[in-house]
Amino acid sequence: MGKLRKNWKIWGLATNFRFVTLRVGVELSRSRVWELWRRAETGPLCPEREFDLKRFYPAVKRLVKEYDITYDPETVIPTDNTLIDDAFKAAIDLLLEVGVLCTDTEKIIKLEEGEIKEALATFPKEITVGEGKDAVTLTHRKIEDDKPPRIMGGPNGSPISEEMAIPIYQSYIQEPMLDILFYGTPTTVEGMEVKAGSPVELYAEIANVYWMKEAARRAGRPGICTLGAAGATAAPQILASLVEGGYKKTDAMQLSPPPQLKAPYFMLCEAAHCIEYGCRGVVIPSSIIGGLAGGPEGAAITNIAECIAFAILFNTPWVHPFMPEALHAPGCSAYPPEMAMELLSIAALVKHANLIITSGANSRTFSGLCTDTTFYEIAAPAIGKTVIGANLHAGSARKGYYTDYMAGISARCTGEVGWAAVGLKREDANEMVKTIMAKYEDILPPKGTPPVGKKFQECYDVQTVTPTKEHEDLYKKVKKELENIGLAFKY
Amino acid sequence: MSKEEVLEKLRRSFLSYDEEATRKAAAEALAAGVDPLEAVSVLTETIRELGEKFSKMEIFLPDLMLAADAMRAGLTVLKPELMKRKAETRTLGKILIGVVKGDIHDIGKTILVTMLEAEGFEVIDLGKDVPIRKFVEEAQTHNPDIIAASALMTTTRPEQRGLIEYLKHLGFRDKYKVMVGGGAVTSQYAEEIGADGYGENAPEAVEVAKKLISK
Ligand code: B12
Repeated sequence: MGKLRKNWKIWGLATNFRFVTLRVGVELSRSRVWELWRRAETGPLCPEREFDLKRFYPAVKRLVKEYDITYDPETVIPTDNTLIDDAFKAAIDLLLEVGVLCTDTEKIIKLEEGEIKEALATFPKEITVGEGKDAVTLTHRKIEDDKPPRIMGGPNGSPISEEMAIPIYQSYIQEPMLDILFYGTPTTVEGMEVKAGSPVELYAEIANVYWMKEAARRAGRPGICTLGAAGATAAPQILASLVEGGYKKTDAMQLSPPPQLKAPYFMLCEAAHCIEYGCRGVVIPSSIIGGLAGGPEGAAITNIAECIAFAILFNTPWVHPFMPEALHAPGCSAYPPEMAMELLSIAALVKHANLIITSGANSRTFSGLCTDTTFYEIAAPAIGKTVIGANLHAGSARKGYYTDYMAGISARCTGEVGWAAVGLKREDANEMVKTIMAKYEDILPPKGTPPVGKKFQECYDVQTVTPTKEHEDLYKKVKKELENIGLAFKY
Repeated sequence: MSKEEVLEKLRRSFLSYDEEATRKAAAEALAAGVDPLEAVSVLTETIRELGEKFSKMEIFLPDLMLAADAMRAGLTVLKPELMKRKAETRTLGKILIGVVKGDIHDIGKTILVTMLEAEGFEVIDLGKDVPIRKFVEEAQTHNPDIIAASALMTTTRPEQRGLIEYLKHLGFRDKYKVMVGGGAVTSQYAEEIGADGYGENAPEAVEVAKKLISK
């Protein structure tokens, strides 16, 4: 391993590619993808528990130590370039040493150094999703980039009632800053309870995409990219792409491999659908803080490794760093260790991998809607992630578990704060973020109790799809507060 | 080595999560004439301390999993000796646990398993994506006090209701206590489907399990 590391140089692709204007890159050919996937049948055998505990975890622990990766709660946005570089090197070492486990065959898919370099060098540096006037181009952003972030938003897979689905989706799409709509998970369809693996789940996903498209039509943005799909396996996303009026080739699909460095066949099936159908896939790996990867630092290098591994294995340049914390904050972007480590992961990828990145400004908030803390929970990561080079993602409230706890105003807040943060230096942004964090730290578990707040239909007029006056005023008040701490909104 | 030294060695081998070393240290303890009950309580006390550390995020899930493996290794040596002496291995009770069909969110379940084991429950872990019939068949084989089912999605929690209905149909409902939990489940839902217990997080779930067993 020592030898490998010595040979490993930081690639500096970010600078090389700024000048490539004619050809923005291509994905792997189908035969290359199959060559990689065949390794799930031919690679070395390794039972899952052995992979987790004897192969993966010791390697993570060792590399965190060797590269001296440390989480310092005082620095939310990473400014230490050596730390960023080392996190990337550690991640590559991890990936080369451990590989990816196919959990169906319990065989290891090994990736070679050359394959990683080649893929990252040749992958597209920008992609276009959506169609017609509603098409948007997602690009690689840089640290402290002056290019504004793109905004993806929606219920983020959280449960939605069929009664509220269209107005909720519309509430996001009509926000002028929203570029991509992210799906929710229907709890019923035509009164039938949706159950994973049942035909109702298939039917629900067809209904779901119709609701998204209808909401897009009502909002006057019929071509906006709708990102799917709810469902426990590949089947719903495939069927909902086949039906008339379903997902288009200009839409996108979430590809969320299980932790850590695992590629079960159902995931490869979902990726196969994206590749063969021709729509975009976004890799959303969950590298869990306190989970198999150990502490925050282990989760961070694992996340970088996973973004790279699955960009290659799923053949897509679009990745979404994500690091839920196991005990108190599964997937809440404002939770300090999650926010800081996602920022480190993004920094490393932005600097060295040239992938296209989206990441949660609020994958989920702890607070319910119509509370000031929910907006502060959004603002802190929105600033950090804009400055570090990500495009932003606005999601749901109350940890994502409660039906209809999400609304488009979250995407407004995400977008407006994100745009306002463009051009900030990391150091200044860091101070700002810390000031904002102080405004919600009291509600954080385990000590605090987040306010339940309201659900969509309690703080939006459902017919006109507008926030209630109380809701709107609250947002304006928070905006004023953010201005007071130095954030300059564009409007 | 003195008795204290032998037990300290056992504790240290266990704390390095080394299965082989723990097994050896346990055998050495027996050879040195240590009461197997005492050796067992070194293991259980230590794993409880580890559980505490995990809840403060001083150690992490794989540490607990490795510790659980090492503990099992130690117990394979100590248990037969306990049996010989007809001493009761004090387990709090037996729990059969799994994540329901269609659901692969197993982190919470794995955390809960290690915490239950640390508290002294015997746990049979069926893993994730477990069909109702498998829960029931395994229950008949292992005869647990509690069947615990985890579900993280609104689309998989109906399986918990299905499990209870299935048990009722077979006439087994009163044979086992049924506990439900996982992110998508609330105490209200648990009540609605007629579960006996619910826990919002692992520590709460452990307390509820203790209560259910003492009933
Ligand atoms: C990590 C994660 C994943 C990982 C899971 C990896 C794994 N091996 O576990 C991956 C990436 C695979 C994944 C996939 C998906 N996920 Co997911 N996932 C999450 C996430 C971010 C965290 C879950 C977690 O680990 N929590 C931490 C643990 C510790 O908490 P816990 O499980 O609740 O357990 C605690 C308690 O509940 C309790 N407990 C647990 N079990 C039991 C049992 C009993 C008996 C008792 C008493 C107590 C108890 O004790 C535990 C410890 O305190 C959640 C979001 C969130 N906020 O939680 C979404 C979430 C659960 N996922 C969601 C979705 C939609 C999906 C996908 C469908 C996405 C997709 N389209 O691909 C797939 C489905 C895959 C499948 N078939 O299951 C939704 C579910 C929405 C819904 N319908 O209800 C959520 C809520 C995200 C959201 N939208 O906000 N996901």
